Amino acid sequence: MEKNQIPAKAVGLGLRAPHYEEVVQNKPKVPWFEVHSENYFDECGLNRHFLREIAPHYPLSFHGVGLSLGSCDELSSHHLKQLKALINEFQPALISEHLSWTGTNGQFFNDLLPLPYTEEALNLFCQKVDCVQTELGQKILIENPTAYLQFAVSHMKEWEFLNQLQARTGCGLLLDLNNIYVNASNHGDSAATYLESINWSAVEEIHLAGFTVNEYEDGAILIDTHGSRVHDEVWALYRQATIQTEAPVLIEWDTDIPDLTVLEEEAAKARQINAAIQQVAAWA
Amino acid sequence: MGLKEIQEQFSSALLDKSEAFSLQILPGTFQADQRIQLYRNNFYISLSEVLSGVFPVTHALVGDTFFAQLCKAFIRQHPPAEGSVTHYGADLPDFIACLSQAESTPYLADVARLEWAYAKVNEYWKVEMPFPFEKLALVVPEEWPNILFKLAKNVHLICSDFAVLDIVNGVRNDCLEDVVVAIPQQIIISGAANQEIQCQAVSPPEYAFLEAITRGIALGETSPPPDFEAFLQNMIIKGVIDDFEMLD
Repeated sequence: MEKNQIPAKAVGLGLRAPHYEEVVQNKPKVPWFEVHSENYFDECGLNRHFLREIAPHYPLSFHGVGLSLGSCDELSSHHLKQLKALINEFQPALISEHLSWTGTNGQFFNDLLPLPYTEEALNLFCQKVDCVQTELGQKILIENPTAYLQFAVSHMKEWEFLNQLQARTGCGLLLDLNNIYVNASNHGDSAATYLESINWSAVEEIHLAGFTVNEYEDGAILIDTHGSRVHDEVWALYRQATIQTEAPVLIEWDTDIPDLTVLEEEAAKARQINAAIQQVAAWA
Repeated sequence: MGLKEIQEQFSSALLDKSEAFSLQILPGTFQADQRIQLYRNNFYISLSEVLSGVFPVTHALVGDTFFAQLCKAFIRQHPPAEGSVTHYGADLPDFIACLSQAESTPYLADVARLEWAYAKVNEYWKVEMPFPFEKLALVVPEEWPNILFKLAKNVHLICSDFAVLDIVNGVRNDCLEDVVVAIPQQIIISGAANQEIQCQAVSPPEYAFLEAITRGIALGETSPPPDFEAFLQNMIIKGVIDDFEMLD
């Protein structure tokens, strides 16, 4: 297997600054690392230096949050140029972005904002994905986001939008099971229907993360914080998902980042589920 | 409503709570504005956290309430101009300098300038650049006036009417009482390879010399500070000056 390939169903971790020293020194047995692309754009930056130390030992997945593919603004050629330079240097196994927009009219909001699922949005998103894939000379994956509201103008479900996007552009899909659960819970949708309807043959990466519950007088809302262990409900979705796909899995933890051992415990749970499903399949 | 209009209305609603919000949102347990408020909170809180991470001393000096208001006003007027927040906050010192609410703390903008410079030096990976002493030894005395010394890439200079380095150290070490604020200070922030970041105050002639070489002025055209040899050696050891070239 080549250095930059990620094994089937391998459970990777997010590489975050508090763990750099430990990863460089101890080379923990992690099958692959995910990094947030934008944090490594500066060629003279400390982050880039650590990535140069770590990259020779692990396959990588580059996960972007700032391309703003769903925005009516033009793609930032500067952002794309920096991403391309990063990819050229490190040759990651996977490259991904989000089904969202982060800014308009030159103003950015440091968040993954929701899109209306309309034909107009689909056309625009396809155009942007085509443009990025052409510029990078390779396929990218698009991740389903969390959304705390749904637009009345939407006339298709998110999974329909993603399936059509994939069919029209040849992009891959990154399925975040926590996001599916959070959205289903907040909007009264069915996570099971989502999993039954998504085009599994296009899914090339799975994300697992934790959410928090905000309580209000009117009720509760789940917030996709990536700051806790994976919840049981999301592990239940993973059991269903892992039957459908060989895609590698990421334990994603971005706020209140704990010791690496906590992330490794979560990864071990995912591996146990994989092993149990494989055993059942063998008996069947 | 088309996509562009939706995005413009959404953006306006994020930036300004009072903005009329007419987007058609599917009904549910929560009203449209409550849902937008989640995004608005995330926008302001996440960027305030970015700013607090870069400007911890400024934050400590003004306290949580003022800093939160400062961030909110700054974010509203200066939302990020790119999808990455790596460079976000560069304009905060100038914003503070123009803020009437900060008139009673005239040193605050320069404290923020020092913190911004510190953050930038801290983010930079320090590559060892040994000073070319052998090359310098080949320069004959008649040619010395044509020497242009070079500051290392990760060096910042700050000139203030206030003792901002003493203020920053006072906050960090929790001993602000003895700091005499109204003393001008000239500061160098640098980060040589394998060394902690250095923030050091220098004399006005030393600062003037360093500032002159950033403008491409050769040794012969500058006024070298007293005891220049020792000063130059110190700057080289600390990685502030890491190269030179000969001007025609």
